[in-house]
Amino acid sequence: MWYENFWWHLVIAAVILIAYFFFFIVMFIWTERRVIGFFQIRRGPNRIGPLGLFQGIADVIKVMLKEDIVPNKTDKILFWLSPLMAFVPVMMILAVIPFSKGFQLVDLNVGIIYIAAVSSISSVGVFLCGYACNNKYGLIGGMRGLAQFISYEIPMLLVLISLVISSGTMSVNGIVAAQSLPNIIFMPLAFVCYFISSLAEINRTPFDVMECDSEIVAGFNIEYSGMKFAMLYLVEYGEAVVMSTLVATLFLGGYKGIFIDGPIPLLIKMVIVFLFILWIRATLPRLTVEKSMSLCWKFLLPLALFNLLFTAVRITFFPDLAQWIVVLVSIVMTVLIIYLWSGLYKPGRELQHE
Amino acid sequence: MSFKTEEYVLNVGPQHPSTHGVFRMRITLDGEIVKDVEPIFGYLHRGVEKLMEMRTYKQGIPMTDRLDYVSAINNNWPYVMAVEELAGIEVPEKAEYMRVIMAEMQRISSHYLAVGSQMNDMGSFYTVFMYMFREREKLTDLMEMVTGQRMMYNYMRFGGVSQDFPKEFVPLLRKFLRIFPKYMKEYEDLLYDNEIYLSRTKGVGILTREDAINISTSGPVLRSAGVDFDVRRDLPYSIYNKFKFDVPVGKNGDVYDRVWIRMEEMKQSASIIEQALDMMPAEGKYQTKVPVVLHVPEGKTYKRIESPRGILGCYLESDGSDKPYRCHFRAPAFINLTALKKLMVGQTLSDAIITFGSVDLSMGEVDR
Amino acid sequence: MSRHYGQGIIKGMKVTLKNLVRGPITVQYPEEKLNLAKRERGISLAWNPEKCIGCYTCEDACPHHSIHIETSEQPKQLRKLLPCIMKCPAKVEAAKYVRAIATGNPEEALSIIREQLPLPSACAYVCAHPCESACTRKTVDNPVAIRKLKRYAVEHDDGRWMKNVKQAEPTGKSVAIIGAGPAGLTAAYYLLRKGHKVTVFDELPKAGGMMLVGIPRFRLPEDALMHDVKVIEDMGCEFKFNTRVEDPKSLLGNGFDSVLLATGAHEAAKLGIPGEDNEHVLGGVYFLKDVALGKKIEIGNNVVIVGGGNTAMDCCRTAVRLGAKNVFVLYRRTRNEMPADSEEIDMAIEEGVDMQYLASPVRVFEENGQLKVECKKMELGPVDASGRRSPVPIEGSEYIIDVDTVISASSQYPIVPESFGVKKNESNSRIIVDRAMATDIPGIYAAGDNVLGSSTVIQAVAQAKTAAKSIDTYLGGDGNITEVLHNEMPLPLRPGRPNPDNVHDSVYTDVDTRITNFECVEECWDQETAEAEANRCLRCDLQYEVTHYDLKGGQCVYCGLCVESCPFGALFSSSEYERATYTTEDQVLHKEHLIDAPKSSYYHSELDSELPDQSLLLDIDKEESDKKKKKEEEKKTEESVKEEK
Repeated sequence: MWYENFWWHLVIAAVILIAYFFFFIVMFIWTERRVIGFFQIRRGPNRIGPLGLFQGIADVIKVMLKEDIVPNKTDKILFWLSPLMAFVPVMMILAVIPFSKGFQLVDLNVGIIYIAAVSSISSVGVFLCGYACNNKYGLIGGMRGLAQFISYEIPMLLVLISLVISSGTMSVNGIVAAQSLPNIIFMPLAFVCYFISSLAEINRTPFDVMECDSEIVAGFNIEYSGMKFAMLYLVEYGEAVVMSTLVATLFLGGYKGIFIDGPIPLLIKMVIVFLFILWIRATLPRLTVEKSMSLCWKFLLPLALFNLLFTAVRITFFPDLAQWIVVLVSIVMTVLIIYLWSGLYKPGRELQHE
Repeated sequence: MSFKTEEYVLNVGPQHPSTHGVFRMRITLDGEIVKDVEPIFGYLHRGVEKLMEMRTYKQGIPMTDRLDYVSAINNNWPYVMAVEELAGIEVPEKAEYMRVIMAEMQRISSHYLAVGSQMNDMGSFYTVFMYMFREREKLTDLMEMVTGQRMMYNYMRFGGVSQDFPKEFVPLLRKFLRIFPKYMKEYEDLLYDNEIYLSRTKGVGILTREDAINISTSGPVLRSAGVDFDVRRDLPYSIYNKFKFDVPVGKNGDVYDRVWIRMEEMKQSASIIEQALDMMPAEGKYQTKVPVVLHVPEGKTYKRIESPRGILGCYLESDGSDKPYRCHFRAPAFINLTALKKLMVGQTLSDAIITFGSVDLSMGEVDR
Repeated sequence: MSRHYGQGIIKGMKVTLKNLVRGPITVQYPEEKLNLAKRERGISLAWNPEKCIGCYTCEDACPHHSIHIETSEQPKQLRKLLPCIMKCPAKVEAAKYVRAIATGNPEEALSIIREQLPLPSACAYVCAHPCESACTRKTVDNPVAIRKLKRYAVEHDDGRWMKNVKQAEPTGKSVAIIGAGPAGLTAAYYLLRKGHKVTVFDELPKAGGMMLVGIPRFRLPEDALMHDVKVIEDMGCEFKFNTRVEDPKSLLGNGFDSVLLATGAHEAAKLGIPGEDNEHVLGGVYFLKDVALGKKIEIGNNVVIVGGGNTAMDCCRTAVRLGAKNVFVLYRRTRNEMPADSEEIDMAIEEGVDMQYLASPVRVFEENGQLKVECKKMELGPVDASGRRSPVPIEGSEYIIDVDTVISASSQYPIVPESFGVKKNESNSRIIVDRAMATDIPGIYAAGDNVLGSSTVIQAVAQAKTAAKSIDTYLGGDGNITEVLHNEMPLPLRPGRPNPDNVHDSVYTDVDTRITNFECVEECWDQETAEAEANRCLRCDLQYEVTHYDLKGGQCVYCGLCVESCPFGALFSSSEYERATYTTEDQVLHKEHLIDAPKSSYYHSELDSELPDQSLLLDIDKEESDKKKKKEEEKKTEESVKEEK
């Protein structure tokens, strides 16, 4: 493009991305509270501004004005550093996401690897939060979180590899461009695996084992207050924003719309993904950490591996198959394998009298 | 490679979202596995029993409300029954029906709260809880209509109840009973088929049958262990022998059974209310006239009822004055609490928390 | 492969979506409002100064001491229509004279009683005190003992009330009163006051009528009765005793301008069972009459009294005093249904009377010269028309007791002689009168038991007052018999709440001495007790203004007990800790107590065999009892074996 070589392009794009990031965090806070409210037959926040839209802003102001307490026997450096460590990488992921044809901070040719790498740093930050605060609840939360992150990274990466194989490129822009039909139709199995594992990655119900209000009282962020807590709060919703954007980009066709291309279809898709997450959150109880692990290793990993194999076979041996046959075979295969596999998989303990 | 582990103590409560009141546990953990539990309570001790010794018999009734604050009407009952026996006060038939209706309504609303907060503990934050509160709210409205209060009803009196049912009450209660099964079906859809719910509850927090009996647990905790015992049926008090109802009995004694029993008991309570409404005499007194300052003849008695949490007993000793000489409550939640160690040791922390929730403690009753 | 992971999750998500569509149930406060129940209890506790009299009941009823009231020293106004006065047939102003006693003025109290009641002494001993059953204090704990306070006032008679008496000028008319019972004496008193000449005829040798012969001396001493009679005698009443008037109409022409029939109820009801014609079966009223008139009666050692009223209590206690060793009372219902005064029953039991509740005689028969009564056990059935539970006989529960005398004290009734010639009811037991107590013959009036059936002294007095009014009007007077005898009393200050004591015990003479003679058993209260008792009165007649009504919101728990306890409806709403030991046995469930209930349909019988044996406390009990039984059986067999040897 003609503007790609100008330095100010980077500045403008970065500013837009940061604005996007924070705007959607604030809006998602409102959306989550409001939509969960409606799911739970109540109204949610509706007092501040029209429909309570400024609730997120009020929350941010409140959190910023709170006293910043540092408990006595904490690891001071880590205690200060870890929220930042968790926060910054989340924002960094957005750098490779194309918002419109060619509108992107940087079009890395190893975009997928970049996403996988950067998102892992965030989980280290979260773990350090729990570790640094010298609180057993925090430590339990951090440990649980770390274990879960590492486990779910595996099926997630396997799915990403299958995406790369299918699209033939590692650039995110390329993946979007390769989606003549959204990937969700091409590879539904991959979508299922990716969606579930990214729910676990961003700590959402039913995988919120590291926060786990009813057991370990907010887990890793138990000792944080004031701005540092705000940071962790931003991580939570920032991850949600980024994850919804990623799912929209990688599986729902990104900026490609039915009528027009550009940021608007992407935003719509992203919001739909987020609403779906909320719907899940409103319905499901939480898994325990060992059941979440078992789900990852016993259920998702085989599926992801199968998906990788299936994609590889398709690309290697039948590269020129007609699109509708691929779609048909994928969907039938996905339904069949999930049906079979879910029947075999037992999440709980075996009971004597069942 | 040797892998050294060390046990550590986690202090759960008194301020903790899942302790349902100010209860504290010192949990010894090995990783996530619970090795030992030491329950510590008394944070809500108000000396209700002693306070009752300093008040006249009638002034004791509002005190009993505050024992188990989610089933206030059931708490009035054994105390009122004990005083009635000692003082020889007869209860009109209509008042007995009114008591049964109100107590069963209270049981339903208490179980709604128990199941709802159980789901909260499980992490389905406030969804089921709010749905159940939708119906519980209707019940509370109905009870407010009768008693004028929404929580501390202070409804039963010696020789009857404090107020008659208003004329709008019975049609509205019947309306509630009509919509009740529809909503119950919905909760069953929401809970019983949900794999995450099943995986978290089945086989978790098992209390064996002999343990349940030896710890002398009662109520849903006892019945979940497969013991077929309900005071309402086996030692009928009031007019419970006139009603046909079933006692749900569990199979495995796990969390699933306890929640299931509560859900089934709600249905049985609804059927009892329906029968009582049909059988209740239209005319009649709702209260025998009893003086404000009642002088109870010397004597002692022990009365027990089936409260939503189990056998609630009241031991009352009178020395002939206008104040009880001694009033002791056998609080079901307190006795069920002693089963906690058996229930929780050996499980992960997450399972231990929901097991704790499934016992359905009410700290007001434990600490008194 | 019964269940597929994820199916249930999708089902659940459907439910949440359905609820999303249903819309919120929460209420937006200022825009929307919930309909509150009409019976709101809580911060809207309101207090009606119109009705409140400042009796401090609410303050005492509060469990948390959150109500604090202060009253003015001077009462705001006098209230009329008090329950104790309204319930009294003679309209004696109980509240007023109790107040007089409370301020240490029993003489004034007597004056107040005398205004409405010419027989204060008799009433002080035996009145049925309907005032006490209506007393407002009853809603708090126990009613004020108004009758005993009256007794206290009567004991302090210094004749002061005579000073305010207004005797009318003689009218020259004369009235004949037949019967010197409560009704006759009352009518005589008022007619004499109005200046008429009164002659009282009675077939008994003394005045008093049923008070003399129906009530034993240990309840109403003759001195007290004669004290009242003497007042009337001193006023100029002419008594003609041992005279039976057969034809009142003949009196009308013979120097009498009017006649009052007050003959009373003197016939005992029959038992209605076979064998009651036996000479040893006595009527309760006849028995009491004979004893009162000093006849010698042999009743033997074993006496059975049938009935549960005050007459039955009088009979059994009289029998005890006559020397009977075993006195039984048979009553069809239980003590709760007994019409007799609770105190009377207590005293009878104290004196050694054997109360047999739920028992009824079936027949009386003589066997080998021994009188026997066959009785049947009863049980309480459904509530009958009188509001009491009716007794139902238990088949096959007959039992026989040996007796010497049977006294039927179930009830009594009057018989109106044919010769009176007045309009009667069908069974000849009532004279029919109009509201002015006039019979169908002009100039002849009737009052007392022969109008009412068997009733109380105070009822008879009330009727006689009406009759006296009517007779006075008939004879040309104004019919106004009201008197003002007491001096105006200062209205008392209210220093604080009424006396919180429950009840002051009556003083009775010792049981062992009292059963040997016919002396009065009830002793009069001393000044201290009487004033303390009088201070228990809530003073419904005086309305003190509540100057300060303070409800401490922080302590109030909205229990509503104050609202319920208010007798006047003035409140409305919108470390010897383990001193008592309770035995663990109380709390153990015994298997014998468990009823054999149908088992739960949820019960998993197939699991029963899998489960280990129960270490149930219940089962241990059973085993032990089984062992005991076995041991006993073994012992028995051993013994039988020994015996055989």
